[in-house]
Amino acid sequence: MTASAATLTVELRNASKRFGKIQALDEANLAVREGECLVIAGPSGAGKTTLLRLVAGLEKPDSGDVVIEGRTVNKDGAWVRRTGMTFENYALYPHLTVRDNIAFPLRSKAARNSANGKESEESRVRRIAEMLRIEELLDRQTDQLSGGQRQRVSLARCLVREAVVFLLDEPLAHLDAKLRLAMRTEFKRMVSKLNATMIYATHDYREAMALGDRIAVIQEGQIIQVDTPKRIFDQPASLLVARFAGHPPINTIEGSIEGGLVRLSDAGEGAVLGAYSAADDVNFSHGPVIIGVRPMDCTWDGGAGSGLEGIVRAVKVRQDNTGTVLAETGSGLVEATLATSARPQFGDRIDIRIEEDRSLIFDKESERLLGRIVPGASKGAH
Amino acid sequence: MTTSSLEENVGPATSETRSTVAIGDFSQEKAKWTVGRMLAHLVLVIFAFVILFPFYWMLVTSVRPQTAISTAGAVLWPEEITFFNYEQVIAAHLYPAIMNSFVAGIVSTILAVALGTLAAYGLERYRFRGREDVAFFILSQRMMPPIAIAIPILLIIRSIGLADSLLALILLYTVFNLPLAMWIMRSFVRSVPVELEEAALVDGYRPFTVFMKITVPLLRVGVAVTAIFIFIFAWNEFLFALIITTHGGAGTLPLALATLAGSPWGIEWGPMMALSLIAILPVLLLYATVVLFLSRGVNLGGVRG
Amino acid sequence: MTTRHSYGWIPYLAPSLILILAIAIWPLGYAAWLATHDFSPLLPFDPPFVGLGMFDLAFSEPRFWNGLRVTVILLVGGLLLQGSLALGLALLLARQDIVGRRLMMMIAFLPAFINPIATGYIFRLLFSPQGGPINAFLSIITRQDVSIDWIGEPTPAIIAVLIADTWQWTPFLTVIFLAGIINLRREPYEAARLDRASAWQVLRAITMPAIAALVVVMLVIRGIEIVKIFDTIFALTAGGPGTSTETLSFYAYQVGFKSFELSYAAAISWFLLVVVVIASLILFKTGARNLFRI
Repeated sequence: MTASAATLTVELRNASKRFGKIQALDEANLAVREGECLVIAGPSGAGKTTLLRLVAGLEKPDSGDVVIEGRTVNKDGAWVRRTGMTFENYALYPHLTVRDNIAFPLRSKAARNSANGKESEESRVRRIAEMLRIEELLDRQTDQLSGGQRQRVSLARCLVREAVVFLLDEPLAHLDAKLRLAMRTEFKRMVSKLNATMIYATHDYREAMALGDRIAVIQEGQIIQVDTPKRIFDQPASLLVARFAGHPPINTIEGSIEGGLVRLSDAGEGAVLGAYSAADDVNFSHGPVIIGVRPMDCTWDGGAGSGLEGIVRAVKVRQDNTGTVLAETGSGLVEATLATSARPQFGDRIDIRIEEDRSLIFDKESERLLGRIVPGASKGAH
Repeated sequence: MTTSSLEENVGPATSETRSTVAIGDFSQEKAKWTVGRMLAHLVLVIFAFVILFPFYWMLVTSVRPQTAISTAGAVLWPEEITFFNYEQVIAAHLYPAIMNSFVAGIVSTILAVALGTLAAYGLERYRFRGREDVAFFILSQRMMPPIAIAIPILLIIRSIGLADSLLALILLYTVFNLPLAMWIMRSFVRSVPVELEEAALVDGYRPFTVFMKITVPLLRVGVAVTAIFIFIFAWNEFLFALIITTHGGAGTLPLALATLAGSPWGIEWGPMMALSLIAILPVLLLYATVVLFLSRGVNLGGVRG
Repeated sequence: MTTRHSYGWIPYLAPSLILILAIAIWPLGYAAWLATHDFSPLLPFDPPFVGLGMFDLAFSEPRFWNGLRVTVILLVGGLLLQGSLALGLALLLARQDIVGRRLMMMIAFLPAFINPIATGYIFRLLFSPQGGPINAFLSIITRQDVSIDWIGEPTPAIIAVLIADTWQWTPFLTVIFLAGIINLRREPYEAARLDRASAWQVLRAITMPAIAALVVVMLVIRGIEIVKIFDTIFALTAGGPGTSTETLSFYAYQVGFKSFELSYAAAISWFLLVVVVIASLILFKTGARNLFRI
């Protein structure tokens, strides 16, 4: 993970943080480039919030460094760092109006000292309120707002200030699905307009893929992979990342590598899928593996497949008459796309076809990405 | 916190009237008036009567002319109603005793609430070794028998020239009420979400400014409750007023009351009860305020003694 | 949870701690010095050190033991009386079929806020031998002419003090216990109802153990207050007749401020203090700190 020549606004260098028995962050390394929107993605409890709080200054790292604009800021209090943050529960000040909430960061001594007089407080507040479409709420009390409105006020308060980096902690988490989708598009529009550096935490992979210039996948305090959305999807560094990025989640099939060939483990005589092509820096040459194939790259057309046999457990048909079938194989449940208008029955035996060049190979133990399959090697019996 | 509003008839079923509906959705009209239920209410009526009777007696005695009290003895209802006792007592004691009580009460309340809130905040929001020990240390001051420090306090105060001064009294009252203020404010501070303070920190405000601008405005209720309790305790205080001050100097109302009782001609109950009622009046008024405030939905479960 | 700087708490707690140290702790130390030196206001210079001599003096003084006796009587009698009354009334009030519970609670809180001095004088009036309502009431009940001299006779005097203190604090205790009972979890009661338990069984097996902690804590607090009792006695009996209602606390006052035997009074006060401190430590250690941290 080498940083490019671009300026690094925020860096975490081997940052660790422990709360009692729980290691929230474990030697995390991260570099956020100026002007980018970096999404921190991971399940609940992975350490996303801790990471943001470390950058904001609400927590101090046990070891390692937090660097902002090249300066190590470990000891700096949150009020000194020029960051903005949204909280998962919005943290709106109940005794202030919406306008006062939004203007609050502008009225601190720090802000007033560094104010360059270019824009008045009032015009800034108005501008951000218009951007988030809450101008008519400015004089309301915070307890009169709906969930979506509160969320936008919280965003406004965060974005109104002159900050080096904006930290957004699951801002869309508590909104209903429709609103969330609408806000996501709006957010993307806003991000490009603001041209600000942002760290955005979410557990929703679609949000991550849509909003992030780069995505950092985190689990159990460790950062597994930092890459563009496309590479996260196409070249996940581990099974975990692969599982995270994609819905329905990736199928995991037992396989093995023998003699340079990738075979399915329980397909009768061990059907061969293709040749094994290892990734760079990978030393693995034979042994048990996990083959990862996304449901959209598995098909059933009513006839023979790649040798992955399963018993139909469920058939899901969508409104546009496309659908998937869920079959129980030797490796567990596998979901495949229906490539025919025929519909299998519950309990049928089917043979699923795998797109070999869209498959990924993972180490069975460590779940690291090992390589891909090169199709074209002889199929059938060895 | 459980929200057991006193509006509903909640409470474990210790009733023998099992014909009632399940716990929680009880309706009073449906219950039968068994002997048990009637007896229970009788006991409660007696209880209420016992509580209120002394107040009644005090009131009656205070509006009877003193001559009637001395000659006719005790009656259940005054022969004639006069406010002369009150006039007499107020004229004699409004200044300085009653004023002293007010000033000492208000100033020490302000100080105790301010210091107590600061202490409560320090204890709640910061973690440090021995935190609970410090809290207990402060609380334990309340347990100390005042007599234990009464003597040295008197000597010290005399030697620094503060004898018979309101200032000394104020300082003492502040110290004695600090633990209570801290105890009550602690749970109120706890109810202010930490996120609000964290948001303010990130917004560029230093910790103490956050305390002043965010936490304190949200503690209005706690401050009011605490202030009322502390004022009542300061207003009622007697021992130190007795020891440190003199009647006519910095003496407070309770001291005036005691002085009145110690008059060589025996106790004149009319004026005595009038002054007693005046002594009780602010307390009753504050209490009424608290009750009215509580009846607006704040439940009693959150105000444990 | 914000981990604030480890020393950030100091400015918030310093003013309170300094005030307490200066106004409460230092005099306490001074009192300890007094208690161990023979200090007389007439000869205030260079008083001789007597160690525990003052305490020896106290223990050999019959009036001290009288004071202890009175204090214990009030303590035991008071706790028994107030505890059982408050608990009983609270259980009664907790019944589901009670009308006007809220009104009752509002009335019950009143006596606790009344000036104990005023209370003392009011009860002195109530206890008047001639024409006092209490004697009148007793006369009606017993159909005899009751004219007990409550203030003037030793035994009635102690009872009078007990009654006054009970009147002042039992209602308050009742409300506290009631709040405790009301906040108990509902499930055990519903289970007991299904098991067709009698009211008495419910009381013994479910209610009592659940509020035991609260009762104990409140009684200890009350007990400490009773040991400190002063104002009520001052007003009601002034320690009399003679010394029959003179608690240790009052005795210390008499000796210190009427007879000016300052060292002796300091010794007695310290004795009281030690007793109270031990009681509070017990309270703290028995995990009742959870109740304190409400």
